[in-house]
Amino acid sequence: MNMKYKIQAAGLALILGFSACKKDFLDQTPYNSVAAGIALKNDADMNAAINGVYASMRNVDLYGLTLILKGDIMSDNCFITTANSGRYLFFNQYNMINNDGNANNVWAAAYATIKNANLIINSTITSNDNVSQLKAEALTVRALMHFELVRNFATPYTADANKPGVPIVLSFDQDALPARKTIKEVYTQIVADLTAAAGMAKKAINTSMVFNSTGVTRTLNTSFISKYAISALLARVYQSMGDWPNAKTAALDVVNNGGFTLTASSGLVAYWANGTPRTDKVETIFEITADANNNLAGNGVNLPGLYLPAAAPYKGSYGDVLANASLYNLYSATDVRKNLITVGTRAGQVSAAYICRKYSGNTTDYDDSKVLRYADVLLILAEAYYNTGDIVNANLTLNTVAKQRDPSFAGWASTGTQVLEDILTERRKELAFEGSRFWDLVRLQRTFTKVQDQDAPQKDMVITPTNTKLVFPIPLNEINVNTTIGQNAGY
Amino acid sequence: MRRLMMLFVCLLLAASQLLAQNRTIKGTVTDDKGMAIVNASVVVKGGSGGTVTDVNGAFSISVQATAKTLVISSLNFASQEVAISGKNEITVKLEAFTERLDEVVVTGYGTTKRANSTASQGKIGGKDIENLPVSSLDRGFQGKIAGVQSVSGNGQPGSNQDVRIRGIGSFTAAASPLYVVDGIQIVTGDLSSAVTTTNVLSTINPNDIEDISVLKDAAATSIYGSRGANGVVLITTKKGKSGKTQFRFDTELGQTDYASIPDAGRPLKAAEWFDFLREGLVNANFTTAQINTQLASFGYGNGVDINWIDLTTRKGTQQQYNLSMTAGDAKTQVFMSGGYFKQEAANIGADLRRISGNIKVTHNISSKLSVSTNWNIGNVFQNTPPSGAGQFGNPYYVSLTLRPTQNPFNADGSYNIGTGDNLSFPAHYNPLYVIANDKYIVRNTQVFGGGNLDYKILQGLKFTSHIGIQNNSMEENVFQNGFHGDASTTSGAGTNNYTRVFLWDWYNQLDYHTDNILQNKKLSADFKAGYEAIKYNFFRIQAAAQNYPPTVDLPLATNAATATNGSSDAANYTFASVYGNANFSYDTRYALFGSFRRDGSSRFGINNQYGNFWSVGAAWNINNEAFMSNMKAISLLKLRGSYGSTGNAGIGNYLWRQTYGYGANYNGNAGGTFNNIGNTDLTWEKTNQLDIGLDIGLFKNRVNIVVDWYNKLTDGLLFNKPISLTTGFASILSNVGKIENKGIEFTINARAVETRDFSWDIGFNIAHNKNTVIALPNHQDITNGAFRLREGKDIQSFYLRALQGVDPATGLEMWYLDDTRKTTTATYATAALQFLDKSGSPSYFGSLSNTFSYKGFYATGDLYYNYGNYVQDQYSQYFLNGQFPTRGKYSINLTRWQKPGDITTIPKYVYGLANQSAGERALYKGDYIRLRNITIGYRMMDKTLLDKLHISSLNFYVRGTNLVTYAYDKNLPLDPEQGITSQNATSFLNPKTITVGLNVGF
Repeated sequence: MNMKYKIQAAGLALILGFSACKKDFLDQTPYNSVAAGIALKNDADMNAAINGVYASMRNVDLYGLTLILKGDIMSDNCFITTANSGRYLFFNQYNMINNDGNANNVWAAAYATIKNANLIINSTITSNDNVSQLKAEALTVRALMHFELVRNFATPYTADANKPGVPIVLSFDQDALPARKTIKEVYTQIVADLTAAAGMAKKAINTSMVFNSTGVTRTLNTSFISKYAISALLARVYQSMGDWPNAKTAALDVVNNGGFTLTASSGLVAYWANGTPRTDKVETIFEITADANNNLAGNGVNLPGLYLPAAAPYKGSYGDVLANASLYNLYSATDVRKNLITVGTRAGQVSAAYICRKYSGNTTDYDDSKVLRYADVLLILAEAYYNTGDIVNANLTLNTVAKQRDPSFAGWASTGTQVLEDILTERRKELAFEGSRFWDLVRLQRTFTKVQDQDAPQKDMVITPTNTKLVFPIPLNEINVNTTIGQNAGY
Repeated sequence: MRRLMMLFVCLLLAASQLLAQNRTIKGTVTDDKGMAIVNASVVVKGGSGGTVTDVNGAFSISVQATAKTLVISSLNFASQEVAISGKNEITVKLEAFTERLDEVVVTGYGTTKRANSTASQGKIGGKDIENLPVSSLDRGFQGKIAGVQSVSGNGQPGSNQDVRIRGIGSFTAAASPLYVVDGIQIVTGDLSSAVTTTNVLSTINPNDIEDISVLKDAAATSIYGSRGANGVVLITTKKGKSGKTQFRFDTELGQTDYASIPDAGRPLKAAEWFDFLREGLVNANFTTAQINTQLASFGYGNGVDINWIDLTTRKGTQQQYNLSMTAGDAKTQVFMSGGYFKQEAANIGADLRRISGNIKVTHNISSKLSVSTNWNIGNVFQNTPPSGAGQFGNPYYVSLTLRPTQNPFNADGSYNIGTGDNLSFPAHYNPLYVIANDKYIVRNTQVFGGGNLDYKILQGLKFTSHIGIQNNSMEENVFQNGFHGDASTTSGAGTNNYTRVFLWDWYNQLDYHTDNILQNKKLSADFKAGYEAIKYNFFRIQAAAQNYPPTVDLPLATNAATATNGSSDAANYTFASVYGNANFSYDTRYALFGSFRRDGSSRFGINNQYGNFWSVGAAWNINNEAFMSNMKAISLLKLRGSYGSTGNAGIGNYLWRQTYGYGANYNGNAGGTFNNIGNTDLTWEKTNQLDIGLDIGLFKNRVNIVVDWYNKLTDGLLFNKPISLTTGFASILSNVGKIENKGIEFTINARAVETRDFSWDIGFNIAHNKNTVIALPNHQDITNGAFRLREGKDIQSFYLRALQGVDPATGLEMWYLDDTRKTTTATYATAALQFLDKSGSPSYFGSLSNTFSYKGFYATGDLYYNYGNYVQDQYSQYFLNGQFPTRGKYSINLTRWQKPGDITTIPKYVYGLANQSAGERALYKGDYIRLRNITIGYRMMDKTLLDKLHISSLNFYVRGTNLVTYAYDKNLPLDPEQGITSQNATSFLNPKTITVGLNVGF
């Protein structure tokens, strides 16, 4: 071959070699995801998507830890001991700042969950019973997240519903810079979503759905939102608004039609020790579950980790959070709920340590976080009866719970405003360590004592309804981008 | 066919007969002092075949009767042509060069003569990094080249090392240089997933390296296109030399200790700690009764006084053995080596062992065709306990955290693993027990190598095909015992991960050289054109389990009862590129250079998948001008400049895609979420760099000076542009933002004194880099951890609450309320975060080295210095003051405020008082000088003695590394070297080593 041709051939080979394979060569697709636009093609895909939505709520920043823990460490129920791991101290001391990581993450995680729910709600695939049920679940999650956002990041509805609430997000828009809707507008959206969901949801606990495209069967247990979970949530939302007639209607729907029962007195400790979702309609209405392979980040950053010390028999981790003596002393000796607090010792604390045992230190299957329980619905109903003037039914409903927990208890029989105090006391005892106490104090604008160190009562704080730290700051990262959103007072 | 073969053999025989009509030339080759040069190459000009000199510098070569000239060359010497007509014996004196113009420099995809180079690049010779007591070669870079910052953030052997060339050029993308080993663009960094840190480069034995070139400016790096913006490190491994088979044995033995814990950071003794507890409780208004109960619960008066740092550190062993062989003739050359390296960290439980082997074979099939192959295998075995920020299993962090009043041993001498009270280990575990019983094992095996084919198509035109592979497989075996420690609640926990990376890199290239352009042949030109394809594949299996049997001897997950994780991961990336360059040189006075590369990558968004990169450079060798001929003192004067573009493709592999990902499983069912927002416009970061340099040689290059000024402007910075969190995403990765790195580098190497027996060499380098953030999205400040990005300011500017000081009247720390700095508050939380104009990046850094030689004795000392940055102690709040009163405390607390009128930097010690001691309080001046290396040795020069011992060389030395550290800020409780960000993460202590070494050639 002539030299000239040799060069030309080599040159040609270079160019051909480069261009021949480059198109496919550069198209490398991920191993664990698909293009977002083609993700939901049928109801089976939608089923996977709703699982993703529930998984979003398992996040440490939502029901995995923060939302549950906050309601007790920011109330008169619990405090963080001096020898601690440094977590949630700002909540405990009521001195969060505008870039408080725990508070910011609640906002981010709640809206991330809404984004995942909206993908289902706004899906245009052909509807059938499965799609209708799954969309109802997604609508309920969207309502639940907006509810958590508005009560954590805005002042209570019961104080002034026309104050700024939080942005309402109904569809994905990466350029959106939404303004805050009023508290009232947010609650209107929550109620609208829940009402729509209640109409679309057909499946109660222990019923099944079959996805024809894959043949997969899905049996609803308490880890999913079933028909009456929606009414139960609606009752809680109306309770928060102080809309008692509607709260009563919603709670009664659960009580009359849901088929739920309270657990037997003797079975309460076992009920809390059980880590798996149920189908027997006993006690749990909706919970966020965690199993061995799908649990939270390990290393103790979870409810058992924060409530239980590492030492046997607790087998938790940090054990930063202890109950106040005042909570423990509320329970009578015959109250089975007293068994859910162990009187132990704690490093750095000289007096007795009251250790919560609702979350067992079974770290291969972290305890589920109860979001809606039947006892809570009954207590909401009692409060609704009271507020609608039906004292007889209020006491009757209240005692359904109280006497189940304390078989020796004769029952509450107060009159007048004392009935409400009895209901609140029963709520505090029944729902301790479930993130509920704080909200009772907030929606009723109560003043209370926040313990800092059981050994040093001089450090107790008195929290009044005007304390600005009762409301989380709008995250600094949101304000930096969404400049007109407006910060909450005190930050 | 058989006949043809016969004929061929006959012809060959005839040829050898012709060759036999030879004569023999004998000679010796020495340096300018008359010392024999061993292994110098002696070849006939224009002919084939050659030999090398023996230990006495002598050679004997058989040449054809017609041969006229011999070419004598040796590494680090200028080659010389010697006429041999009519001579049978010659003596050749070679001139040593340090910065000679005809020296060849390694460049991207080839080499060039220094005179023709227009680029700014530095070189580290193999001698400078061999036998060092460092676990990876990048740890040997510190102070070697001006503008190359190599700082350790973790003293764990085999931990990842941060290297930055000419400042930090990226916010979020990789800022480490590209490493190219023997032509392969290898994967570097930390591939681990279960342990804290590993380093791919630790699998490579530094003794197998011939030299390292660090490419700094655009003329040097632009040919690496979208991967060149952070600079490029070209590593060439050793190859065989023709001549007598030679062996070399190197060993170094010694011990490691930790480099520095300043007095301020020493933990308190028990008596002092109790004083603080009492004082803190008094200041927090506890009653006497309450105080006495507290003191009793911590064991007041029981005599326990533990120095946890002493218990969790040790004198570790440091050893290495290396054996290498070089052999070959004119056609085939072979290099082989084997090495063993072991380093034990000063912190207990951490060590690294490496076994490595290397072979390189070069073979000339004909005068036109040559092939070579090389294979390098390294196996690293590491014990790598947690060494990261605040990890409970990190023995160093825990040694700071534990109280001096906690006794690690029971009365019977067994480990105290109680957790029930303050005298045992209720919060942080007993590190002695944990380290003895937990396992953090990494086995990392890397094979890299490949083949190269060179074909000289015709005079000046060469085709090269080079294929290289890198295969790295890493096993991680983590076991936490079920009795005491992080997994005590789960009856033990284990993680077994396997990670494999396979990469291939294939390039085909044409090189053309001609000087046949002008009649006088003064103009020469070099052209290069090629294409390259790279594919990377990553695969990982993860398994985790809990509930182990009641033993600590069976760490594998298979022994445990409950599987908690069983998953896998994988990723690919590809690059496809064409590249080329051209270099013109006229009369060795003027050089012009240009390069081009077009890169496509799977990492770039579909709208921006291809990018073009180019550079131009020029050099003027002023000393070769006629008007310079009278200025004898100036042996080298070269002015050079370059400008060009490079990119940074160090982004995630699939980030541009908008994806819906699985893995968000729930209740045992598969779940998916919309998990990546994507950006189809996503592309590389684009850097344009201008470099002006001056190379000066004085007095026959006894003094060499290199000065460079550069301005690197990086645009389209990959940035997680914050978006409203209400979208469900925090940010969108975008090409926004602009950053500038501008600086000066100065290097001088001089032989200050030279007599027959004595010499003194001085080397000094300094680099100044000024980093400025030029543009941010919407011109808004962005908080980046403890830093704040602000236009016009340094990228690593701290953004913290500003401290006024300790109020002498109250002893409280006073914080500025806002950046007007008019009002102060004692409540930390109410003070606003402020831009502090204090950076984590040094203004200046560099080194000073001195080498003295007297006959065979020599002494070298290298100082490394760093000036102008601030160091943040991120864990300060735990160990200063009373916010966490149950932890161990720094000694600096002894200077606390005690009574009105006290002037001090440490506030009143108040039990449980929140939010002190963070913010600006935890910033310290980071200026320091470290005696990086001091070596005293003896090299045997007596040839007759060497001959008697039947060896060719012998060198013996004692070396100390990091022996002395001088930090300017006396309040700094830490080692001042804390990684690129200058933030303490309670990582392992940097090592100090004392070793003795021996090198023997035979």
